[in-house]
Amino acid sequence: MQGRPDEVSAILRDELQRLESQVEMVGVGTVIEIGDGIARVYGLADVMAAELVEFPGELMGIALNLEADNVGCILMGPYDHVKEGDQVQTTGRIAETRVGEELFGRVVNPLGEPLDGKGAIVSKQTRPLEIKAPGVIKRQPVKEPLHTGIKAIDSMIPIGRGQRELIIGDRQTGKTAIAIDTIINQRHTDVKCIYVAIAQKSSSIRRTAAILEQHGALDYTCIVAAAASDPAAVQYIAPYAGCTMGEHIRDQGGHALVIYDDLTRHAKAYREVSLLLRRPPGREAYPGDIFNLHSRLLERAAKLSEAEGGGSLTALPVIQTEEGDYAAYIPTNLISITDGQIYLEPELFYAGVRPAISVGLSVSRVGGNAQTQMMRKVAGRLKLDLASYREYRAFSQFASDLDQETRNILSRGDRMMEVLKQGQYVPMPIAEQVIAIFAGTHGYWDDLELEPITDLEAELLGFIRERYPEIESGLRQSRQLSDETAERLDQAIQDFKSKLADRHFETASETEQCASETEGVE
Amino acid sequence: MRALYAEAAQNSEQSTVYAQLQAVAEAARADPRLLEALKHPTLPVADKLRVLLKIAEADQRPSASLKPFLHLVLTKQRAEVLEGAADAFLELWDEERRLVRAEVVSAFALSQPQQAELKQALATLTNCSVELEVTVDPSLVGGMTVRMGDRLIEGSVRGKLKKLSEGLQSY
Repeated sequence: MQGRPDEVSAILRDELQRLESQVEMVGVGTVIEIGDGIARVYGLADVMAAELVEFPGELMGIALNLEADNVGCILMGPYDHVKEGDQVQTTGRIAETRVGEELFGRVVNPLGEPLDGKGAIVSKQTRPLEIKAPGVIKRQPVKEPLHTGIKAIDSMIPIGRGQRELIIGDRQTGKTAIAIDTIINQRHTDVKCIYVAIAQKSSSIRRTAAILEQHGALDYTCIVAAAASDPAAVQYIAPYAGCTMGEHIRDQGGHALVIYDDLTRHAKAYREVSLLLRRPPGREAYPGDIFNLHSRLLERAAKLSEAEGGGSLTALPVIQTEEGDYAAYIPTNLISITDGQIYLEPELFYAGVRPAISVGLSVSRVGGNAQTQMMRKVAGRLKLDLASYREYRAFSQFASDLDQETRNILSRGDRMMEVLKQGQYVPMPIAEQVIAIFAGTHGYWDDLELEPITDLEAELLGFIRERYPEIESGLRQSRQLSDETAERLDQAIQDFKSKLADRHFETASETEQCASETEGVE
Repeated sequence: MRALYAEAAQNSEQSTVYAQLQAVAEAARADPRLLEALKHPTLPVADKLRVLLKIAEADQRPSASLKPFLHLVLTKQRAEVLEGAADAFLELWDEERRLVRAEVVSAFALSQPQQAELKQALATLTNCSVELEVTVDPSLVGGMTVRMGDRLIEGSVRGKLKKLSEGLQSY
């Protein structure tokens, strides 16, 4: 208990008030078996499916298996103090979690209880974990962009508000990095973020919270944490808790982003719980309803119609593949459920292409509909051009003498790949992305070496911000790339390049002078 | 058991059958060798049946429903069900009569008018007729608990104190 005396008396007053409340009738049962995070209870005749039941010591459980002669419950916490013969009682509440504004800026467990030591959470609102997704009539097509701030994604695999886009790849390919950068990029938007950490190391979760805080992103983010040390039952409900918190915002007309990191571990936790409850195992020992487990979760991410408030919930589920096997059971399930995927490949990663996004295999089924006009204009052909670039690349491995056209395509492709590389924790505003890609697709880097492009791009953006600020502000406000703006942009970049040439000329002549001087000494 | 009950109900001999089942259960409880003998695979069913009927019908008139039931149980080697048969029968009988048995544990003795009032309140609550089984347990400190099947009304001071202590411990 915190040491402050007035807090203690407040707590006491609270508890005593609860005593005064009406005596009510509850359903009871007796524990007949307990272990492995599961308890079997005899009795509980009137228990509802997925009802919250209370074990001794205020331990909560969820009644999942309603069998003929007993009820199988999963336990949401340590159960060392519970014995056979102990009494269990119903609560009348179907599994629910806390929702509301107060959760943002905090790290909580799936039941909405704080884990960050920053004090109690005041929210009194709760919402059931499981709820039917909005029907067809209540929705409208996805039409507003959700910018990740990552050039490769926002240009060729654009995501919209209300979409479900899968992030899929082997371990250590940058999946979480994409998620974090997307959260950081929502800083000056009206999108609230929820990051669900499923079965991760507590140290990793801590690090993520620290990084978000460092970049000013924690204030509008809620981290729902079910660490690897938490019971499988808690890991199982974690994504639903995050989704519920996001739904609350969606239904009030707001916009939210929820990231499930990752659903592979979630599937494993559910498998563990199902097997312990002796539900029949299916393929790879996963229970028969493993598909429904994820489909009902992801269907709740939606863009609502104006009549329903126009709110949205966007989902970015993460799946880890083994050795690039995206045809495995769980990955294929998720691919069929989501509205597109972002493939991350280890080969690209180690070749220096970071983010290691495979442009060929990645797709967004919402695509251009949710893209701002200016980005659509500059990046429209980019995906196709890069596809033919890759084909030419493969072909050129074997050919010795290439014609000029082929060499041009290869050269431009190489430079565009450099443009698409990006550092971590530096998501780029969409206006700057448009400028960066414009420079690449209009051939302004074609006469330069590959290596300096990343730095030069940063310099160019700084240059334009200083000398031609109206371009960026124009793009930002109008979200269009008009012909005038394009002309102006051309001028600006040419200006930048000429100043660049002057600089090289100066340094070149300096080197010449040095050389001639030293020559004399000799 | 449902079949036995249905038979008994049809012949309107529920109370007889119940008493007989109780007699059997009592005998089984008194001497564990009875069940062992009944479960023994080499003793003939006819002999076992004769013994059981003797126990069951000791103070009662014979009932039409009981004999075939016992015969079935013995033939299928399920003698162990006889221990709980009486209770299971009673449950079905109560359900049909819409009778609820309420186990009341109270800190102090309840007067007749108090018991009657409680009985009436519970009857209204459950929409069934209620039979009270009242016990006194001073460790409840005050108030009472009422248990009807799987439903519990926790109204004792001890219960409230326990909830209070658990609530404080969770901080």
